Amino acid sequence: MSNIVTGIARYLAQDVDALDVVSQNVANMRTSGYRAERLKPDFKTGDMEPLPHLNLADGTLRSTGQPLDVAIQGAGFFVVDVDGQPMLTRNGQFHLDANSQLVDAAGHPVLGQSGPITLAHAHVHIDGKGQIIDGKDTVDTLRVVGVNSPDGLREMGEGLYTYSGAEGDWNGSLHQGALEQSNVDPGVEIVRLMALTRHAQSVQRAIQAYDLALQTGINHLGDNS
Amino acid sequence: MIDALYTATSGLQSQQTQIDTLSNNISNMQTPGYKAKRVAFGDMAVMSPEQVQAGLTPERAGAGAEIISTQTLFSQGQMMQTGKTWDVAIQGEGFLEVVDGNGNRLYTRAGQLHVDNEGYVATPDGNRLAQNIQIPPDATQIQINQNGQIYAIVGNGTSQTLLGTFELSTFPSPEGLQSVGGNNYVPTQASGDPTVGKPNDNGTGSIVQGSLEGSNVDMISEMSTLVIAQRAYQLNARVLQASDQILDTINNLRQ
Repeated sequence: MSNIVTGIARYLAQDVDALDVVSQNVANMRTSGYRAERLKPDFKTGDMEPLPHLNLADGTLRSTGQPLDVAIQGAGFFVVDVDGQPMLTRNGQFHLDANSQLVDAAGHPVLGQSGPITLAHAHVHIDGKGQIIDGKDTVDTLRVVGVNSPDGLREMGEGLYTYSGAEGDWNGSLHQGALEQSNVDPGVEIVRLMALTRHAQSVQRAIQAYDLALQTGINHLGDNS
Repeated sequence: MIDALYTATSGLQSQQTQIDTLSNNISNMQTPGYKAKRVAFGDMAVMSPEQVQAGLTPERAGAGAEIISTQTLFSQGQMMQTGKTWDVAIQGEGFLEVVDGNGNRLYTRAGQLHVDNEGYVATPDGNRLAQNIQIPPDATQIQINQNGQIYAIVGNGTSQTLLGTFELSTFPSPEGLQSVGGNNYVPTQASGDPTVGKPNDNGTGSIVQGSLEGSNVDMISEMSTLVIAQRAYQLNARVLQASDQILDTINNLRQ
């Protein structure tokens, strides 16, 4: 009998979880390179899967005119070095640090084909495949990891992701002087938000209806009046 | 409880910082030598760096957005001709090195210079150039060439005398400079130490007399960012409202 109430309450908990994900997406609507997340139902159990799935669709490119802003198109990620551990990011807001190393917005070194990249100055040309060209010389090529299975990506904060799946080919292109915006769609999120609040209300009504049935069952059955 | 409430709050706060930065940029649009700033957002995960190091993966949605860094963009501003003798603009990456009243070395690109009461070349806030260039009171027809050399005719002389030379400082990472107000910057660990050089030498840039470097604030880009930031703020407020509504539903499960 009580498993009906717990069952209904579980749906409410799932609404709250889904709301957390919507909220995370909306908070990061303006985070360059952020990938929108969505909880998906596990059709075997009927419950929501605990980990959100990432949407790898390209975000809008915003032109900035800064030479070290690089936007990525296609399912590829830049590789940065976080305390010795390689992590992936789509946020190409790079700059040079005090040692003339190319670093991301949080100061992690960006990796090329053979480790960190050192540049003499910021005025370099970066072509569609990530080759960094200073004058006539090719300095290095930005390392871009193609992601085949988005399920292997985990959000690590500061725009960073870890990836446990297989490295695939990346057949996209890079754009210098632009930043890729997040791929959060405000329209989708607001509809989702409305659906969630209404769903929570229906769950509330269901519990109230069940409560009323119990009330009748317990207090009025057998009344002789 | 509902994490969404706090997540939405972090979204509101970061958009607030964005709007503050934008309004600072827009109000300094006409400040010579001002460099636009921009914020870099990052998402927050529900894990500590130690947990990440240990190879654990998060079990829940993230915890919102934060500002990772505020970057100053040192791209060239537009040259504005003023025709004034002591207005100098730097075309290139160099900074003028000045010394303030306490002996601190500051770096600036605002070349609205003048000659102070003791004859030294100084910025509007009274900081003298680090090269201590002194101009005799009877110097006339002052000319500054591209290489920063100051020539003038002194007294009743007929030929030009070299009175001093501007020097320009460059940094490995100008983005790391700390702004200290009055368009002055100080070096930090992130910017690296200055390299002092002659103008037109190794990327320092050239000196343009009779011009000022305008701010590099791009009005169109600032306004479009402002519109987007405002909408993002509204959407976060809506999420906050919806979280509150769901909490209310939960509180009234059994009426």
